Amino acid sequence: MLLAGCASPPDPKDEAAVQSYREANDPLEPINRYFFEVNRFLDIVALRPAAEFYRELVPAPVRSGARNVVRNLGEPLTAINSFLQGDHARAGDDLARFAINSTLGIGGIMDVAADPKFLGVERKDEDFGQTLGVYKIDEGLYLMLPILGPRPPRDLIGFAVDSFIEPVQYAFPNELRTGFGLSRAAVSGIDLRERNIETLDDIERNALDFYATIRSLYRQRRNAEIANGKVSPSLLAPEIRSGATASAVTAGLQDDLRLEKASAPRR
Amino acid sequence: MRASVGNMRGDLAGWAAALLLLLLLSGLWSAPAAAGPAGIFIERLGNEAINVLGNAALDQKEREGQLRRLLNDGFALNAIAQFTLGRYWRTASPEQQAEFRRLFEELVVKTYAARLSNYAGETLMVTDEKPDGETGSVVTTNIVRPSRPTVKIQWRVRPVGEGYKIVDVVAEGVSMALTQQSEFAAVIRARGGEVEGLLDDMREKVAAGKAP
Repeated sequence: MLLAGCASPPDPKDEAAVQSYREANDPLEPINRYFFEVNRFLDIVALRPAAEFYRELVPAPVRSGARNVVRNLGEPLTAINSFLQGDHARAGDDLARFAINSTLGIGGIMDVAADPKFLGVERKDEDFGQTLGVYKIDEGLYLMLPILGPRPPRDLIGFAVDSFIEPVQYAFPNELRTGFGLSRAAVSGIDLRERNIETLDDIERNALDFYATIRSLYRQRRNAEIANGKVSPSLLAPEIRSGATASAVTAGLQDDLRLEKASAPRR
Repeated sequence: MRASVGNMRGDLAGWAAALLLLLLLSGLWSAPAAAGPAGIFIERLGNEAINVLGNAALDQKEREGQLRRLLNDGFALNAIAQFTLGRYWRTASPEQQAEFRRLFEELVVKTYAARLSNYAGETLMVTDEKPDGETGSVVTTNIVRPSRPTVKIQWRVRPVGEGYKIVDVVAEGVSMALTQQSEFAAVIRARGGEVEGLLDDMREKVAAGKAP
C-alpha cells in the first residue's frame, strides 16, 4: 500500500489530475510516504513514550522552565535571522530578551522579558528557512526525511545554515559542542511532542490520509510563520458566489432541518 | 518629554491611539461592545456551542444532534463541501456531489463532536473584526483554555440572507478548508483520480465512527 500509486505523473490529458499533481508538488511521494511511516514507527517506539514519561515524571512548572531555557538559547539565532530579514528593531528586541532572560530570568528559566514590567516583548521564532522565505524563495518540492521530518529544500538548507551559524554552541569547547546540541535538540523535541500528544492523536484519528494532512499543515504553518501573522490568511476561501449558491445553502439547510426532524423519533 | 509644537499632533495621535487601545481592551471583558455584526454572530454561535457542550443533561446523541444543528446554522456547509472537493467537484456526477455533501457533513459532525467532547471550560473572546473579500469579514477570536496557552482562531464569514455563515476556520494560520481540500485531492489521486474512491473512504470513516 505504501509504495502503490501516485509514483508517476498523471495522464497529461486529464486536466484535473495534472493540476492536482502539480499543486501537491510532491514528485517523490512514494519515498516520502515510506519515510513518513519510518518516522511514525520511531514515534511509536521512542518519541511518544519518551514524551509520555516526560509528562508523567516531570511536573508542569519544571517542564515549562526547561522549555524556556531551550527557547532562550535560541534567541541569538532568532536575532540573526530577524536581522537578515531586515527587521533590525526586532533583532534588537531578540537580543534584549536574551540578555534579560539569561540574567533576571535565571538562565532563561523564566520569560520575564515578556512581562510589560521589563521589556513587554513576546518571543518570536525565526530560522533561516523563514529568512529565505521572506526573500520569496519557494520551499520547493516536498521532502520527508527520517528523524528530521518534513524538510523541503528551502527548509533543509535553512536547517543546515542555522546549525552552522547558531552562535551559542560556539560558547562551548569543541568536544562538548555536539553533546550540547544533541541534548538541546532532545529536550525541545520531547517537549514539543509532549505538548502535541492530543493534537496529533486527533489529527491522525480524523484524517482520511494522515500523510497528506501533515503535508498541508506543514506548508500552511510555515507560510504563516514566514508572514509573521502580518498578512491575513490565504485568500483562498470557500465562496458563496451567486444568489443561486446562497439560496442553495439556505435550501440545503432547510433540507437538513427536515431530515433532522424526520429522523429524530427514530433515534 | 516632547513638548514642541511640531510634535503636538503626533502626541495627540499617540494619546488617541492609547485611548482606543484602552477601549478595545476593556471591550475584551465587556464583550460584544467592540465587535461588529459578524463578531456578534461568532460570539453568539460560540456561546451556544458552549451551552450545548456544558449541558450535562444531554446524552451523546442529543449533543451530536444539537451540534449538527449549530453546524448547519453557522457554517456554509454546501459552499465548504464544494470548495474542499476542489476541481473534482466538476468531474463528479450530481449523485456523487450529493453523496459527497452528505458524507462531508457526517464527517464534520463526527470529528467535531469528538473534539468538543473533551470540552474543559474553554471560553471564546472576539478580539477583532476586519473586512474580508468583497462582502465578508474575518473575525479574530482568542480561545482561552484554563491552564493552557490561548489559541488564536480566525473565522471567515460571509453574509447570507439576514445573517452570516462561516466559510472557513483558520487556526494559527492554518485553514481547515484548505487542509481538507488537499487531503481529499490526495485521496482521489491515490485512488486513480476517481471521486468514487474518496466516497468509499469517507463511508468507511463514517461507519467506523458509528460502531459501538
